[in-house]
Amino acid sequence: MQSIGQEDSSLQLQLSYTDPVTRQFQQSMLETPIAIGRDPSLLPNVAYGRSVTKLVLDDPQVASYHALIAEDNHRLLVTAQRRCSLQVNSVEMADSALNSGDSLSIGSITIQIQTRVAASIGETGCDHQVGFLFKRRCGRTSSDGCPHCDSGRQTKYPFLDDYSHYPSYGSYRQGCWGDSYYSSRGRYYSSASGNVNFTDADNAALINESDADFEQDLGAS
Amino acid sequence: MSENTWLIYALGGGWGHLTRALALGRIAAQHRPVRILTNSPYLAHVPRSLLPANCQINAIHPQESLAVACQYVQDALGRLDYGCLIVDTFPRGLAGELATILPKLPASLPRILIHRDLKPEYVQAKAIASFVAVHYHTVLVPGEGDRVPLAHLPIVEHTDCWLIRSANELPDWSVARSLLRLTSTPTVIVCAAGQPSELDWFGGLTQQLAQALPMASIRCLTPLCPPTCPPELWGYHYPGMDCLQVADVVVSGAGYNTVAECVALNVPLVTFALERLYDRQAQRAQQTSYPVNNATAAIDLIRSLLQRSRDSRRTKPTYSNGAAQAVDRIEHLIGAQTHSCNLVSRSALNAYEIKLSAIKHEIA
Repeated sequence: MQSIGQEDSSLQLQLSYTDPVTRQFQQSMLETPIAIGRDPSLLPNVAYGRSVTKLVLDDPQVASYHALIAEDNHRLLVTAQRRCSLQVNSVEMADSALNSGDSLSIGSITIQIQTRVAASIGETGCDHQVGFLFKRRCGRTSSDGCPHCDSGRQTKYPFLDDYSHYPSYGSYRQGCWGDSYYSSRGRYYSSASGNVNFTDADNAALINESDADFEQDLGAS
Repeated sequence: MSENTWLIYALGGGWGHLTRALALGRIAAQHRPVRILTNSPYLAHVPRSLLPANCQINAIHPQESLAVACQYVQDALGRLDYGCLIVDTFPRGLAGELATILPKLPASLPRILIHRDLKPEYVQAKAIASFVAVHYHTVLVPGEGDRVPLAHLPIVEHTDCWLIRSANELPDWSVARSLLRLTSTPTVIVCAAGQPSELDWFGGLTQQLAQALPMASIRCLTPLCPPTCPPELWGYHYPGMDCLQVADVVVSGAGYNTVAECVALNVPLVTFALERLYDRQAQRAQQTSYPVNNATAAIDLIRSLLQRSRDSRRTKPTYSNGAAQAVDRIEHLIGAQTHSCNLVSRSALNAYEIKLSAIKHEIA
């Protein structure tokens, strides 16, 4: 069995919440420590001597750097930054222990927490996050030859730094990176449904991009 | 080997492609020579006694480079004598190497594609449907139903699942139990039939099951005992189908052969759908087994399955082997192709005779 975590005791949290802008249900499996805030460029890269996983929440009631979830002495703690508030199970606190099943409210967003020790790959497959546009769980049963985590040597999300080049990535509000795209949405939005018109050409482009994966592996099946 | 030989292309990782080729090859070899082209990492663990005398294997080392393997396949298809080409799963070849050589083969050479399920992304990215329509005479779907992505082609024919053992070949119950040193019931077999890199995980799962289900005999069925599996819980026999018939529950990935074998044997199968580049294990798992995604769920499910009565399964399994049906279909195709060629030859001969007659007439 091969571990993908930095060490066997690393903790993974499943964070589930509804995005206040898109109204879509979000579910991420992230490794502690986790910095939560509105501005990814102001979130720390390292905490407790470990690489930080960043959770960006697009909500005006969330501070640029709002809270940190980390393990301390085998306990999972959430700590609000100065002048920030949060609620654990609807009780306002500055910091608090967290347990699996707790709800953490930050701004207008309530996050359900499920804990899980980062077990070896295989029990349910690799939980490493991969993909830039379409962030998803890796799911491989072995890290051997994995291009995403470099055969288990790379533990952080591979596109973490790339997101910092696009502040407020995924936000389409005025002043944000996606604002101009949103302004000219008529070009590629369906006026009837309000949905993005993801065309067959877009689909073909993505297929061609992944085409390189096929016919390159003699051990595939 | 001769022009009657059936050449089966079965490149691909794991057990699946090799086992499917052997299922067909063993029956076909009763009446003609068969040659199987494989790069399976498990070939060394297939007992030679399983192969009929006129069934030969052309093995490519599983660690061979892509370029060398492609060259070997292309050379083999150009050099060997064979009268029928049967390609398992990958119409263009596992590395696309058949795409350049199929157009160069005689048009009259019967070509059959074995259409195990494929991801639609691959089918679309490589324009597989049009390639198959041009370069193959028949597509045989081995019991995978009509959800496979090439099911719409007019040259598709369906058979039952192909199995390495026909029902009358299965060993007796007591013999089957002794193959894995089973002395008590109920029995849970962990069929570790995935990629070599997955075997450690199956070994660990076996240990977890043994700890959680002390009332059951647990066995991990795989060629070499994984370091994560206690040796007393490990066993090996090929074909594994001989052993699976005595299991009360089988735990495995959702690969083609394990699923087909458990369905034929009427053994409950608990599956972990493993991610594959081409296969859709999750879809197969949903249709034919009890899918789970972690050891805890598997243990709960197995416990509940073991509580059901299994007396009805003590009778000898009866099922039809799609591989035998496939041999009949291929023989029929070859007969039709030969007849068609004869018609063309006769037609050409007639034209020649008419032309000769005309020349003679002109000379006269």
